[in-house]
Order: sequence, then structure tokens, then C-alpha cells
Amino acid sequence: MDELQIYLVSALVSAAIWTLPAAAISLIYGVLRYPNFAIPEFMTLGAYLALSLCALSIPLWLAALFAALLTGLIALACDQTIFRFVRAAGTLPPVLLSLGLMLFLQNGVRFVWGNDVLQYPIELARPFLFAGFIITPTQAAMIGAVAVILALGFAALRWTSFGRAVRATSTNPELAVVTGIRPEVVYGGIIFASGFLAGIGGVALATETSLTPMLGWRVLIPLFAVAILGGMGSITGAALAALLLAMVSEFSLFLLPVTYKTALAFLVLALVLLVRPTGLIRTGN
Amino acid sequence: MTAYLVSILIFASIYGFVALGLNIQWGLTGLINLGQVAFFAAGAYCAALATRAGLPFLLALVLAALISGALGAAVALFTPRLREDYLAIVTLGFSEFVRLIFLNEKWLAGGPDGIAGVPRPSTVPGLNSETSFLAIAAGLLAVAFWFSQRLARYPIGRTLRAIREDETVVASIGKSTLSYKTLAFVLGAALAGIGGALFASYLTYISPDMFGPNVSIYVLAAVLLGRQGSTLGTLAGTAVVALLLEGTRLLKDFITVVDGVQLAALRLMALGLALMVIVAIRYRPGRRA
Repeated sequence: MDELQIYLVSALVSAAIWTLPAAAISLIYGVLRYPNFAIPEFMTLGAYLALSLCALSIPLWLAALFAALLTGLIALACDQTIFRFVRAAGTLPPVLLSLGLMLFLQNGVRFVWGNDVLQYPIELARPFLFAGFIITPTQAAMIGAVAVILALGFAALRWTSFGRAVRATSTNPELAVVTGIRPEVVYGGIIFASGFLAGIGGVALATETSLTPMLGWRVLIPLFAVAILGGMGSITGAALAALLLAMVSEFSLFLLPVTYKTALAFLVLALVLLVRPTGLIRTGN
Repeated sequence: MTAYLVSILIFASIYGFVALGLNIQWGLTGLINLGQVAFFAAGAYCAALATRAGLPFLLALVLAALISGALGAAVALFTPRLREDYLAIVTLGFSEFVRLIFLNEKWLAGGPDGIAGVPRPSTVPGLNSETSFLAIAAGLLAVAFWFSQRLARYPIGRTLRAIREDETVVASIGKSTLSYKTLAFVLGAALAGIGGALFASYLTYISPDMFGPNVSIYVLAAVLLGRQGSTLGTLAGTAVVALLLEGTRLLKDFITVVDGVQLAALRLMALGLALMVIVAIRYRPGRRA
């Protein structure tokens, strides 16, 4: 039965990696109403920024925090300089912009850091062992950090005035404006938060794999599958959907070769959209 | 230098097919497709396998168009009710899905190593291998151009434009919008497949890493540049993108401060930036899109 525990840990790790960036995609979709294809590239950017900060002998967890904050600021800068001007033009223009930004960021990373495969300076440590579950200290710390950030994000959406403004804008933008909510503040805050979440997710992914300019692109499909499965706009939905998809892809290994994990995520995505275009998990409104 | 110009023109012709295809889907009918590279790749692999198996070039071309068109039909039939934003996600995801299949199915497509030794069509008498290929590609592109022009002017084209403007109205006069949309997707995919077949045969070697999202982005930029819907504009847009993309390869000889990887990255950064600038101008506030 050891195999079962290995699959479960592996699914938990994948879910933890996917949750925050998928929540970022979901939040942007919920508030700004467009799928942002640049989120995976903000993951890559965050992961590399953390690497550079590590080189200044800052510990990885602190480097991750700074890198994610920086990524959030860069995302905000991109939003204010480019995306802001097409706000009123519908869904397609920001989608196309995010595609251009995707290409720009991916190759920006390649330009600065090169094509080589890089690693964080993580020392090998003895994994924890209990009841057949094997988990490395890095994995445990990563899952813990993701859980804390998720809880904070949930609390912020639920109990702060900014969170209320976000939920109001997401449910009914016109009514939100009428009640005195400044939409640009909400948009800016959401973009910054999304950049931050993507940055953390990028570091998490890079601790499990390695750093290459394609780091984020490789998880684009699972992220969108999770965001759609969770019902766009809901971060609890994203977390649950991440767990569900991670389980499905881990247990698919009994049937499918490992290289088809991503392809499977696409099938899940297409199937959900075909059957229930609004996502699997019913949201409040 | 002439050889260089010829190669830019060949790439421009190849991308021309893919862009004309996208113009039918998006420009004419209003169906956004961010995964045009999927049909391009399918055509390339199909033609590579067919010509290596000894099929004549023209037959391989037709086969590539058929296979890519069939894939296009599958995508269209699976996404009829999808709104613009979901269609964007599905098409982009689909293109990566197709690439993963070529990457993983070693028996079919050689896996990560790809397929080498794809034959080129026989040479036009009196021309060398390169100029002959250009003549064939440009000749075929002229046919595709003529076809696109006719399509846009025929009643079918009018219906497709009407779907772009208001689908409900078209449905209300008893036309099946699904079959028209499927037709647009199929034609666009088939054109991309022909482009892919030419691509494989020109390079004589293909591998999955050539079919990333970049190709889809090139043709999106080309169609946007050429004002969606205009056939001639699409080709002009493709020429600009090809010049920007392939033309800047020449810079390698003059710029020595950055290395090869950095220069390649810079060129793609420029393309990403160009797409963003085009979109920002095209959809600037106060302008009807």
C-alpha cells in the first residue's frame, strides 16, 4: 500500500503548486473578465527573481516573499501602462495583450538568465516519514506556506473592505460603482495580488522541478483547467479543483504514461467547458 | 544576400497560408483561434510522413489539408456554444495538446527528435532548389489568396460576416450558424495545414519544439496588422511580421554585444511588444473595434 501514499503526497504537492496561480487566473477573470495567459510567465519571472535574491545569500523563503512582491509590482506596472487602455474594449483585446506579454516575459527571462537549467540552492535533507507517507522538508514547508497564503487570501476577500469591494465588483460592476467603489483601485489591487500569487506559485514549482524559461508555460493547461473547474472567480473553488485535478492526474498514472499528465488536464478542461460552461463548482451568485 | 531574401520570402509565403486561414476564422467569421499552430503542426507532420512514405508532393499537400481540416471540424464541433473567452482558452490549450501528442508518440512522429529527411518537391526546370521552392510556394499562395477573395465575396462570405456581426440575427433567418462556423474553422485549419506541409518540406526536418505558441502569435499579429477581414491586408501584415522576425536574423552579423540565445530572445521580445502595441492602437479608447 506504500504506493498509494506516494501518489497522495505527490497529488498534494501538485495541488499546492497549482492553487495560487490558478486562483490568480480565477480572480482576474472574476473581476476583469478576461483569461490572462501571462500568469504562467509571471510564475517564471517570480521563480527567477527569487533565484537572484538567493544569490545574495537571502534564505529561500524570504527571497520567495520579496520576489513575489516584486512580481506583483511588475504585473501592476504592465497593467497600468498597457492593459489599462483597453478596459472598455471587451474581452478580446486584453486576451491578445496577455498573449503578447507572455511572449515578452518568457523571452525577457531567457534574455536575462539564459536557457540553462538552474536550481535553487536547497540542501538535501532527510525526508519526514510517517504512516508510509514520505515528504521532504521543502515540500512540507511549501505546502504549509501555500495553505497559509490561501487562508489569508480567503480572509482578505471575506472580511476586509477591499475584499468586499472585489466581491461587489465581481458580482455587479455597475452597482459597485454606484455604491462608491473605485473600480481602478480594485483592478490594480487584484492585478498586484495575482502577480504575488503567481510569483509564490513559480517558486513553489521551481523547488519541485528546476528553473527554465519554460517553467510557467508547462503548467498553463493545468492552471486553466483548475481555474475553470473551480468556477472562474472563486479561490476556494480553485483550491478544491486543484486537489481534484491533482488526484485525477496522479491516479491516471495507472493507465496513462506520465508525459500525458498535461494532455489529460486539457481533456478535463474541454470536457468541463462542454458540459458545464460555468465550471463545476457552483459559486454564490 | 539574395539567398537570404529568398528564404525570408519563403517563410512569408508559408506563414501567409496560416494567416489567411486565421483571417477566415477570425477576421471574417469572428471566431478567435489562439491555437492556429495546432493545424499548422498537423499539416507539417502529415506531409512529412506522407512524402517520406513515397507519396508525391501534391498528394501530400492535399492530405495535409484534409487532416488539418478534419481537426478543425473537431474543434469547431466541440466548441459551438463557447463564448469568445472560453474559445480562446480551448484553442490555446488544444494547440499545446497536439504538440504533446507529437512529442510523446515516438512511433508516429519520432518523439522529441522529430522527423528528418523530409523530401522537397521536384525542382522547377531552370531554377535552383531555393528559388524553385519559392516559385511553388508563392504560386500556391496566389491560389489560396484568390480562393479567400472569392469566398469573402460569395454569399457564404456574406453569411460568415453576418455571423461575426450578430449571430442571433443569422440564426433567426433560418441559417444554421453551427455549420457555417464549422465550415469557417475547417477552411482556416486546412489552409494552415497546407502552410505546415510547405514548412516541413522546406526545412526538410521538423520537431515538436518548432510548434510552440509563437506561430499562433505571428499570425494573430499579421491578421491584426492587416485589419481583420481584409485578405490583401492579411498578406501585407504577414510580410511585415516575416520581415520583422526573419529579417532580424541578419542582425547577428552586426551585433556582437549579445550572444545568439540573447539575440533570439530579443527578437521574440520585440514580437511580443509589437503585438501589444498593435492591439493597444487597434482597440484604443474611442475607436470602434
